[in-house]
Amino acid sequence: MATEVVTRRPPAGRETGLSARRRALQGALRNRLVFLGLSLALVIVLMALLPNLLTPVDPYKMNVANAMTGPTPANWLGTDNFGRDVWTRIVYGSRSSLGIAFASVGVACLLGTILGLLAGYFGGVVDQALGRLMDIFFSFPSLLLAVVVAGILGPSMRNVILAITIVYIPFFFRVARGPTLVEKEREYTLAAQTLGAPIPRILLRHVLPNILAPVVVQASVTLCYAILTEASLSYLGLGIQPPHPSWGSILNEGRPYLQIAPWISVFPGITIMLAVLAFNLLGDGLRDLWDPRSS
Amino acid sequence: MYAYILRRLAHTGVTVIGLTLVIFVLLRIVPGDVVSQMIDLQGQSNPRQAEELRRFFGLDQPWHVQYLTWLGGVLRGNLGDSWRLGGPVLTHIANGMSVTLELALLATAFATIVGIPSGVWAAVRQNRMEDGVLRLLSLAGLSVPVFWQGSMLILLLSIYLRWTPPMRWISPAADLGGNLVLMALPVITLGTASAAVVVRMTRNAVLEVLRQDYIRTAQSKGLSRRVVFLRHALKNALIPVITVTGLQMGYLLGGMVVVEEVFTLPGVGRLLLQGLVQRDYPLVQGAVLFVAVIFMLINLITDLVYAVLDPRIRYA
Repeated sequence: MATEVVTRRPPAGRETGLSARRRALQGALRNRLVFLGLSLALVIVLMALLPNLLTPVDPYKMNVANAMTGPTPANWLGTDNFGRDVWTRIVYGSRSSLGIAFASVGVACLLGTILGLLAGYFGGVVDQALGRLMDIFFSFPSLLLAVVVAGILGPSMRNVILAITIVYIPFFFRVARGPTLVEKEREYTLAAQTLGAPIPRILLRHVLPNILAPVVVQASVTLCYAILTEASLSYLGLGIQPPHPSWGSILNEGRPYLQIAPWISVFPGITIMLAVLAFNLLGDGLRDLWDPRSS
Repeated sequence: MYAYILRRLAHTGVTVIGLTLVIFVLLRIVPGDVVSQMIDLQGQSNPRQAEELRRFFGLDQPWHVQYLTWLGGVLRGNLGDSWRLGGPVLTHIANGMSVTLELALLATAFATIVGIPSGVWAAVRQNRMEDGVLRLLSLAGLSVPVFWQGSMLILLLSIYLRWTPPMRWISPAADLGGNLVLMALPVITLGTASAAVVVRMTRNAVLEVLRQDYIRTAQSKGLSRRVVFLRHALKNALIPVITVTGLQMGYLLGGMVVVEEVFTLPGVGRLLLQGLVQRDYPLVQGAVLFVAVIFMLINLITDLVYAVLDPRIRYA
């Protein structure tokens, strides 16, 4: 059974037919998952962009008389300890959660890629110095580093973005540096150098487009980690503070009521999982598309 | 090999010192130290008392003197005393580390025991329904927030089994059975994401090996499928899996801070969190130093095991 994949390999003449079929099957399975990821991601981004389309209620509006009621037609995901609508808070929470994730991954991607390009292109002392600096951040588990940085800086949205950015810059540095080392030896780069193109132009117009694929794949993967990191920080009380909703802070607020009002904790968690799953699936799809080595 | 190990250890030393320096400076750049926090708590401002307290904690010294004093202490095996808990930082960390390492080791074991067989199975059933389901499950495992999964496990067990995990720490030396019962949920919670990574890695590694020429050669020699799979394919496929498992163990140290908080385990993660909230600098610096050293040692050992298992890898 174990070796079926290999022992059933047909003679050379029929091989293309079978492997083409297998590839098609693989593609279909993949695409369905990628499609699922794309649709989920769109819904979640829509939640963040147009929250008032999805819920007419104010996310801060308290109604203590209606506190901690389970799902009803009026509050279909229940209400929290202040009687606020959980669905509304999840929808508005997506603004902070996704906003922080996109902002921090965006900045980390920009800075990390620029530093990686510089290190790879110039080599020597620049590469050594930047490499050593990045090693410092790699010498610590990333979630814990985010906790330490956010814990030191104090809880605020800006500090959470800063903490997540610092943690993920080295990942983009590494992903950009490696391919730059290869691309700078290629003939087109040498040609541009010979023609006297300025270095920023060589890096941005010639090298960058050729190293972009792994960077984009890394960005989609990092987005997942960033969503999870923001949620963890807010859950620990180091991120978004009540009464502002973020997926992690709603979970933090629902923590004492886990046994009596589980819906406050169940639904934001499912939302985080679906959001991360969506970007994971998209990342897998992008990797297959652009990074043939891993497929 | 020995030269390589020495070089790596030296590199680790420099990097860890760099990390402690970054954390040290960061702790002091941010306004609001332990003294202002203590005085805020008392509700009255007394500049002379504040000054005295700062002198007592050594905060009146220039930064570089403070850092070198701390580093000198570290080299002599003295991490200083905790400002809030009292007693040597080293003792607090040693106590916390036993909990954290037990958690990390058990979670790694869980990830391996669940991840490798599932990954092999997914590879064997490549592109069939079981494979698709396992891949979706492993992606879901990667997507679950660790702390939420912990809460949900507690919730489900309390609803369906009417059982809530004990919230008081039981040391394995005192009661091994009780300790393992206590650790079961945290271990599953922490290990799930790693198990998901191991499944994906194992599946890809097995598929990769099955495509190699030597597998075809082994089959051509007339060996049975079982022998080809177990002795030739699996043995080689597991080498990269072991590396990934080792690296995962390092990353588990990161997840522990959340898991320890959810399950109120007295590990280094909670100690660190407490130190951060209370601005207990010696405790934070000590915990960061310890975690960094263990993290880098795990990575070094993983690399060395890889070299021993795979004769193609030789370190110059």
